[in-house]
Parts: sequence; C-alpha cells; structure tokens
Amino acid sequence: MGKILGIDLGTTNSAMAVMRGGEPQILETSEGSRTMPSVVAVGKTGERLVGLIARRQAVTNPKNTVYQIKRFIGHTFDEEGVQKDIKSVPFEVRKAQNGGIEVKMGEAWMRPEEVSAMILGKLKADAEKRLGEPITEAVITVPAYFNDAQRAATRDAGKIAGLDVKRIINEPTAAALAYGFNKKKDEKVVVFDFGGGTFDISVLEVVMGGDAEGSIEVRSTDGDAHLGGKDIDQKIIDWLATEYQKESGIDVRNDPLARQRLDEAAEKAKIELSTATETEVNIPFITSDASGPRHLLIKMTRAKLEELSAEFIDRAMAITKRAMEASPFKNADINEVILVGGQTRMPAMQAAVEKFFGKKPNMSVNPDEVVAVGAAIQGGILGGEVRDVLLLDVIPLSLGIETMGNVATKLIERNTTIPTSRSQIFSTASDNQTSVEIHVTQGERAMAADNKSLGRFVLDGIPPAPRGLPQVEVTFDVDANGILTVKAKDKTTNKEQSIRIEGSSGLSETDIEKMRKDAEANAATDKAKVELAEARNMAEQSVYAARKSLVDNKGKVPAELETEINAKVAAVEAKKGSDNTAEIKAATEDLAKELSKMYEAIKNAPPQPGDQQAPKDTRPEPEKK
Amino acid sequence: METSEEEFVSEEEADGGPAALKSLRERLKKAVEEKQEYLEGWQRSRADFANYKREEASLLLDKEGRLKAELVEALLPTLDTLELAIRHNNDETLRMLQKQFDQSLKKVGVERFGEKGEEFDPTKHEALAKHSEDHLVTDVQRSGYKINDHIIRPAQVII
Repeated sequence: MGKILGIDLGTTNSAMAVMRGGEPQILETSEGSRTMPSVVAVGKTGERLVGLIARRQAVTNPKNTVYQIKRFIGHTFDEEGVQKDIKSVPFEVRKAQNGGIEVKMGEAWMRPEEVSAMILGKLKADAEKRLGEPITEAVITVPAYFNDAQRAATRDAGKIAGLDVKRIINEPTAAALAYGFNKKKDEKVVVFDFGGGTFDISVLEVVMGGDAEGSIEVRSTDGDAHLGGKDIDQKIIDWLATEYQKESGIDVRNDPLARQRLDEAAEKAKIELSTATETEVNIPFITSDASGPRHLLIKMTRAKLEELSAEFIDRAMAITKRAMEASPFKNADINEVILVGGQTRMPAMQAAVEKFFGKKPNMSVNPDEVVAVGAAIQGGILGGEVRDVLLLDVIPLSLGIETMGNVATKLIERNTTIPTSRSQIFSTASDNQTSVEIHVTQGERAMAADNKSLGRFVLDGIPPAPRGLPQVEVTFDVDANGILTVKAKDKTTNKEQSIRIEGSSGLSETDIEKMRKDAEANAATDKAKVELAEARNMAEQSVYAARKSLVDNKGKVPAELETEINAKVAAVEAKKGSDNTAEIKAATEDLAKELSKMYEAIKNAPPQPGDQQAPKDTRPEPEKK
Repeated sequence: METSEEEFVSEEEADGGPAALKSLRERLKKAVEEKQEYLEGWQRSRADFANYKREEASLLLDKEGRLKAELVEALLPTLDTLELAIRHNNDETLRMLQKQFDQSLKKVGVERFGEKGEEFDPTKHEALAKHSEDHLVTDVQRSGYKINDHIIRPAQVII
C-alpha cells in the first residue's frame, strides 16, 4: 500500500505532508517551497498553470486566473455571500444549470471542484516526484464550518484529481492531531487560526473511547471569511505610503514596482517586528521626480504595528468570545490553545490570545504547516502506519568503556534509538599484554571514574605482542528492552568474552537528570582531565618509542644524540606523573624533536649486519577503526 | 529475545487430542498473522530508511546549491538597489560594479536574467503590470537570478 497524502487545501495557500518512518514530513513543491499558492490559470496558449507560476502571471491574465476558489466550492450561485465574493474577483462567475457556480477559464466554464482538482493534481504530481512512488490516496482538510455539500464537493475535487479521498477532516482537528492531543483524555482545545484571508476559531473536546486514541469533537466554531493577514499588510502599506507622501508629496501607490516593493517591505517589517521592537523600512530609488531619484526611509516601531493591527485583532478576539460562549466551556476549562496561520507569529496577537484565555498559546508546530501535518497523521492512522509504529525507545545516557588513562570512551551516545549495536577496535597498552579488562560505564562524564560502573570482565589469552598490535573488537548491543550485551573479541584468536547487563536503564528520571546536569557542570574540568590523560598517554608512547628505537638501532645512533635522547626521556618521565598538562606536552615535544633527529641519523647510517625491523605499529589504544 | 518451545505448547497439548489440536491451529494462525504484520512493519521501516538515505544523499548534493541561493537571496536588496541606481543614473562606475557582480556570481554558477523583448514566461518572469497585449516583456523592473535551473527569484517585468 502506498502512502496517504495529507493535504491542507487552503483559501490562499495549500500544503502537503506524508508520514515517513512514523513521522509527519512536509513535502516541498517542485518549485522548492513548503506551501503553494492556491491559484490556477489557463495561459495564453491554453496551458494550465498552477501555484506559484499561476500567481506570477496573474496580472497579465486576470480573467483566466482563478484564486480563492475555496470561497465558492459547494455553494449555490444565489447565496448572499457568494454574490458578495463575486464582486471582488476579476474572473467571470456564472450560475450553473443546477444552481451551482461555474467560473470561466480560457474558453471553458469550470465547476469549483474542477478548479480545486487542478490544485490537488499539482500537489499529487509534486508529491509523487518527491517520493518516487505513485500517490493514490489522500486526507483533505476543510474548515469546521463546511457543510455537507462543501465537504462532498471537496471530496469530488479529490476524485477528479485521481485521488481516493480516505477522509475529509476538519482543519482544527488536524491541528489538534498534529499536537497529539487525541491521546489526552477530556482535553479541551481551542484552535485559533488566523490565516492570510480568513479567520477561524474552534473549540474542540477529546472524547476517549475504548482505544488509546480518542475522537476529537468540535464543540463550537466561528469565524470571519474576510479577516486575515492581508488586511494587516494592507494597513501597513497604506501607512508607509501615507508617511512617504507626507514627507515627499509623492503617492507611490499607483506605481506597480513601487507597490511591489512596498508589499515586500511591509512583509519584512512585520516579520522583523516579531522579534525587534523597532525596524527601519528602507526602499532606495522608490521613485523619481524632477529633482532626481527619491528614497523611502521610515522608522517603524512595534507599537506602531500593534496600533495598525489592533482593529483586526480586536475583531478576532470578539469572534473568539462568541465561540467560547457558544461552547459548553468556560475560558478556564481550556487546556490548550493552538495557533494556526503565519499571522499568529505576531507578538500582539499571541498576547491578546494569552490575555483572553489566561494561558500561553502553543505554536511549537509551525503554524503554516500544522494542518497539513495533522492531515498526514490522520492518513497514517488510516493506513495503519501510525498504529503499527513501534514505540522506539532511546538510551538515556551514553554507554562506553574505560580506556587508557581512565578516560571513558563512548561507544553508544545518549539518545541513540534502540535496538542498536556498535563496535570499535581497541588494542593493548603495554608490550606482551595478554589480557584486557573491559570496564563498562554509563554516563556523560569524560573520565570513567565519574560515570556509573555497569560491570567489568576480562578477556585473556591474547597472544603476546608489542603494545598496540593486538586487535580487540568491543561490541555493544542494546536490544529493544534496553538490555545491554558487551562482547570483546580478540581478532587474532577469535577468543571472546561477554557480559549481559540488564539494569542499564534502571535509573530513575531524577538520576538521569542529575547525571546529565553533572556532566554539563563539569564539562570544563572534565575536558582538562581528558587532556591531561591524553598528554600522559602521549608521553608514555613517546618514551616507549624512543627506548625501543634506541635498542633496535644500536650502533646507528651517534653517542651524543643517544645521551641527549636519554636525557629527554628522563625529563618526560619526570614530568609524566605531574598534573601540569602543558609541561608534559612540552617535554614530550622536546623528546619528539630529538627523535626525529635520530630517525634522520638512522636513515643516513650505512646498513649493518643483523638489522632489526622496526615495529610496524606502536600506536597505543584506543585504535579507532 | 528467545522464547522456548514450552511457552507455546503445554504438556497436555503435546499429548494430542482434537481440542488441543484446534487450539494449536488457532495459535499457529495467530502467530503467522503476527509474523506477517511484523514482517511488513520491518519491511516498511527498511524501505523508509532506504528512501531516507537516498533522499539525504540527494539533499546533500542539493545543499551547495541551496546555500548559494540563500546567499544570493540575502544579497538581493543590494543587487536590486545597484540595478535601480543604474536605471536612474547610468553611471560608468556603477555599470562596472554591476559587471563585476555578474562575473563573480557567474563564477559560483549564479546567473542574472531577464531582457526586454523576451516572450513572457511565468516560470521565470513575474508580471507586475500589463500595458500591451503582445505577451512580450517591455521592461525589466528587477532582474531575476537563477542557479542552474533553480529560479532564486523570477525577473519582475512589465508586459
């Protein structure tokens, strides 16, 4: 079975999402954007244009560019609202034979379902391109106030587009699903949806059946089909134009480019004022007059923006009050308020909602995408994907082993999804070491001693070899129940030892939290400790290499150099035990310089009988794969 | 996890009898169904992961282009102002500056486009106004920018 596409078929913009790996994911259109304008057109040569491209050519082709078709779907021509909307659109609208509506595009008259189908068809095609598989099923959202005729027409639109519409769901319900509120018993949720051109408010209640998932029921819904972000934008544009006119005496509202740039500047100012309290609207060369080019430079404060948008926010809040009164609940009964629509990013709007309900509204899911995400989740539930999704756990704390210098080397990082398995190759720390001790630790601290010890075991029987040569593969395996098995295997002999640790996730939330906090608090000192341990390891390794090379190359190294090296070795040995990382490093570097002189001397020395081969590998543990 | 045979088959059942056989059949049926369900879930996860990996790989390839597009987008106000400055004052220095910008952008694969006289094409042009019926670009108010075939911004034109 293929994926079920979740579609938010909006008045101004549409969006789509699917479930992937148990998570909802927004799909981009072929133009690379996460939402698509709900605009359809028939071009000069009769080609169909949908979305961004249709919008770009709208002014050249106003009679054949149809937008806001959602206002007409499922309506009859004679309805009062329809008559009003017809007056505000540039395309032709007529009464169909059955009393419905038809719009003219090119030579043809089309039903709103057919126009919506073009939008759905484009989304379907783009989704197929993204996913590389055919899409035949969808969940489409509609406003909660849509009647049966409007829902049926939306379903038909899907059918025309070649989609089997598995379900039509309410937009606020989809938003609540996106937040997972269907799993909370008796949850009362208000969905505040301030879109580009419409405002909807819904009061929902989650009613639990026998299942773990409840049904989301709409207790009341209200709205204004002609209230939205574009009203606020228009207000900002007017204010900017008026301010500019006051200063320059020029009205830029009739210049199409100036108008376009004002639109963009207003949008930008609105976004900036969501975080800053003041912004500068800067439009160079907005126009020109006899004195030459003119620039627009106007300071805009958040207070100004709030003043400009106050009337629209007040209207929305009055409708919200009406919806609450129509519901069986008081404001204080509401558990969550969800914000939908990009305009709700305005701090003033959030503040108004917060003041009304006495609680912070929730917008942790992107308000432009939350409805499509909810539709995808509904699709996932219908397709069995959501129900079947196993609850995958993560390990709360990192797991690792103690390595040379008491350093905790992590094999599995915390928050890794289980079941999982990781391996790493380690080696011995000294020559002819025949056994290694595997000390399993849990926690975020850098030194093994600061972490929780989970257990230890010894792998012996390693054939004697110079340090760093044996390869011991350590494998951590955490199964779905959180049970950890640690295995160590000598790659030469295939001899292995293992330990099974059941209590690795037996820590309480508080313990885990404490361990994490400790790690954060001690990050700096831990880092210093690891550096010290590493410097000591390095020092030891250098001393080892120096001594070994002197023995292996007896006679090739000039006597004075040998004395010098021995002195440096002694210096490193003396410093090695100290806590001064810098001094240890300095001594090691001094030794390294002498060693390179020695290697130079060896290279240039004439060959001698009985030459020994230098060790291939003198690296100490850990040896990463 | 290992489950021993005893957990499924009790002593009595192992001894036989039609009732026991029936109950065993039922359990076998359930086990087969479960096996199928788990297999499908596992296959689905594997498929999701394979698709995810493929997509990540292509995203990574795409990333460079996206980063460049993002950078050009951030530069657009400056580039637009330069273009407007030239429109208002066709100054030699400004034109040289624009040329340098164009060359630098070209080096990283970004191209400025939009010319008077081109046929209007909404895949790369955005119409701001229409003054004639012949569907040709009569004025480019702001150039478009693209990287490979991706339109960073359409050219904003008058028809």
